[in-house]
Amino acid sequence: MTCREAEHLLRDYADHELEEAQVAPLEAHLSGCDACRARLGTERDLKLVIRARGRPGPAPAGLAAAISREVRAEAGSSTIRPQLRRRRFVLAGVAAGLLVAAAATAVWTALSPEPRSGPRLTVELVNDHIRYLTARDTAQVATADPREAETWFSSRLDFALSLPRFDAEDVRLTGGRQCYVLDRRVALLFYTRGAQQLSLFVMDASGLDFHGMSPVGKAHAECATESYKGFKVVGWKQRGLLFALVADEGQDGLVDLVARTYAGSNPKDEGPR
Amino acid sequence: MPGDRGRDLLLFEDLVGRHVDLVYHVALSWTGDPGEAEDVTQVACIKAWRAFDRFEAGTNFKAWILKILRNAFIDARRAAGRRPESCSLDDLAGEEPAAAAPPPRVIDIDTKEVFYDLFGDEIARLLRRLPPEFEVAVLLCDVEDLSYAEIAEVLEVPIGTVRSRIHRGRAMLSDLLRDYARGLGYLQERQA
Repeated sequence: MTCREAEHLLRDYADHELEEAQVAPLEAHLSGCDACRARLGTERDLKLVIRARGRPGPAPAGLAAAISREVRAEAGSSTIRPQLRRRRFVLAGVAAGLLVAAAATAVWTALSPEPRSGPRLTVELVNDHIRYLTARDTAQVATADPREAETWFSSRLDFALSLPRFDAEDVRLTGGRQCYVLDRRVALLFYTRGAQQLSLFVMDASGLDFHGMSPVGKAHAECATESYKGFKVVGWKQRGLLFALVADEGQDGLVDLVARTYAGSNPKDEGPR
Repeated sequence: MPGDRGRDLLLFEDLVGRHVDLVYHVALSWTGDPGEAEDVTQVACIKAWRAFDRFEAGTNFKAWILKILRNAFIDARRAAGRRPESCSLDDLAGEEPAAAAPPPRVIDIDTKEVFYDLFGDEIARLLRRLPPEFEVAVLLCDVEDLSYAEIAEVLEVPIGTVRSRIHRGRAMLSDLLRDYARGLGYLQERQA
């Protein structure tokens, strides 16, 4: 491949839109061409700075409220108000002997004066969990095999998916799909636990601030729980990925399950397989 | 209100709340008028609510509502007896596939740290100066992380056109950044 040919492919490559057959030849060229690597770096830097600084300002004040009024009038009800109650984030780790004593009360970042990704993330996760529960045929891949699911996602995500092998016989993988959470592509895995359905969201943890999550288990995976709209979210981070398990609030032992699954592993290692 | 519909309403409001800034801004880019942009945004959101039971769970809500916005914008222009200006650019000779487009002239500044420090909020301002088709394509790709296929569906143009608009839009932005940096004295013409 010549530099001229490579030049026309670099932009699609930077956008993760290059046809698969062209990736290997381009990467082979890049490995031996400083000039094209530099061009690719500049292209990526420009994308990064546009992403970071190009977001438009807010819509006019009151527009969202006006839309809400119109939609509620259309829906024929003005009685329902989103009750985004102030969420309390409580210590997640209940696995006896696994908790670090000092972590008496854990909070998500959301309890900081300026709530950021924590509550918004939880709202989005719960809402998506509800949507997938109520919709039919939402799985894009049906499989009980975590390896098969990882393979299916391998060409669809910007990160390498490594699924936890839950240490519980009654937790069964049924399938998965790609979806969007906080505007990023996310792997969503569907599990059953008895008659209950669980959703496991896995995403790149970058930009998601989880200060205040508490170590759980020997692996010291940071973990916390939150409840919203009658659903429980158990979140943890491992090897640069954020995992969030969503289930009915009545589901007990989810943190135990996470702690058991990660018991004995080092978060810098491969994690439980 | 039945429980499912009430739950849908809460979900819909959550989704709209998250994306109303984007929807409004795209409307503003297309209409060029803040008041008209607000109107089109409201109409699009109401249409989206009416169609919400057909929204496929797990698909990209952002792409879905932007497509509705596009139709609302075209309807509004037709009702006013005006052709959507953004459509007219589809006919430009420059909308050929990206393979025929020249490579973007990127600025000669080496690191993204310099990009960030030097340009700061100018990026958003300069992005607004691109023609609407190019601004929206770059915005949806680089800021909103939509795929080429999703953008093509939103804008109802071929993927090749999307690719061309994104690449040419970035090249235009590069030129604007270069001019801006030169104005600040950071760039000098290279000697042959």
